[in-house]
Amino acid sequence: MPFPDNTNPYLSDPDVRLMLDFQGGDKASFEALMRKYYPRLLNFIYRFTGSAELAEDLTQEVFLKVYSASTAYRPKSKFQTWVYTIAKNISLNELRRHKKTPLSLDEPFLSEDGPVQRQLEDTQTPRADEQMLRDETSAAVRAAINSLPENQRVAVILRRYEQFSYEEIGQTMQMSVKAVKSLLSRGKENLKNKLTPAGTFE
Amino acid sequence: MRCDQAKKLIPVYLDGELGQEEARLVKGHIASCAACQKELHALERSWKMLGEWKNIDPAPGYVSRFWTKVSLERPWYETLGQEMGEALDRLRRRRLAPVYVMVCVLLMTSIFSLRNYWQMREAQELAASLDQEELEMAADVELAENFDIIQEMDFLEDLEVIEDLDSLET
Ligand SMILES: [Zn+2]
Repeated sequence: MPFPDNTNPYLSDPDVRLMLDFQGGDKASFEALMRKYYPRLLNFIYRFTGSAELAEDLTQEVFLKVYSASTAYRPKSKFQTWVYTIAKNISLNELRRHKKTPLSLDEPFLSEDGPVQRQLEDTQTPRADEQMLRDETSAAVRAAINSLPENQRVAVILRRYEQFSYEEIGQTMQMSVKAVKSLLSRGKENLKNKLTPAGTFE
Repeated sequence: MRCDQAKKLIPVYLDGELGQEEARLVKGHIASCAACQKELHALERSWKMLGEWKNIDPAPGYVSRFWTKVSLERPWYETLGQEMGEALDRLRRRRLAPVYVMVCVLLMTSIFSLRNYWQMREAQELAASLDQEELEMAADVELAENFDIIQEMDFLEDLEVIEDLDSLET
């Protein structure tokens, strides 16, 4: 770290301050960070791994890591960047561990005449019809995101669901903004091809 | 700008992350190319569709579940040590230390006084019982002498305690 502590630019990040307060023994600061980031990290990991159950365990693991890193913590990035990097690495390790025995995703992706449609056939109202379409879209989206290569998947999720800027994505994934542009360009193109195949979109 | 160049840039263009010059070129190309217009709309549409994958909520009690995990993963004496440290920190932060010292001094003084009082009473009772026994066992001089010695020793101890207390208070 080239900056001495008093000119460290990350000290202006309120979440870095909370982390330093926790380092000084304030448990409430840690809980404040948890309340702010736990739901977001849970959803990030959920979308990246495809399993809500696994996401809950891994999110706990992220905070155990933050907790045990706290004594030696020195701010070298925004807190958000740091904690998402931890979450990304923990999730990647878990996916690699399961490479031979693939993870079972939460629900089977629905096909065109899937269980939802059959279930709703006799009580079809415009509302139910709409809900069915939404469920199918959701399942298609999950399948499309799950089919992306790991790097594209991380970049897409951070951009679409976590509202990260390209710069923030670059910091979290340890790559240049130029690399992020190319990753997102390919990711979006792949998603477009899966979700709006030629012919279904006029 | 050619179509293949534009196609690569449109996804980033939609995020507003292109440089000014590139953005101008892409915009110009799209305005005059139906194929790239179609590409842009398809990208917009699929990106919007991703919103249909809704967020999940954390299982309730995730904070307390976390602290349980922490306490299970750490040996009890570390946790205890940390808690005592935290308690001391809180004391220090509230600047209550002088109050606590005062309470300690008062407590110790009253323990000494009480002990002193009970020892005096015991000695008095012993002296009283000795008087009675002297009447009953006047013949056994040796025993009476022993009692005298015990009696004296007790009073000496008391005197010492009182002296200690005096030196403490000054
Ligand atoms: Zn074109």
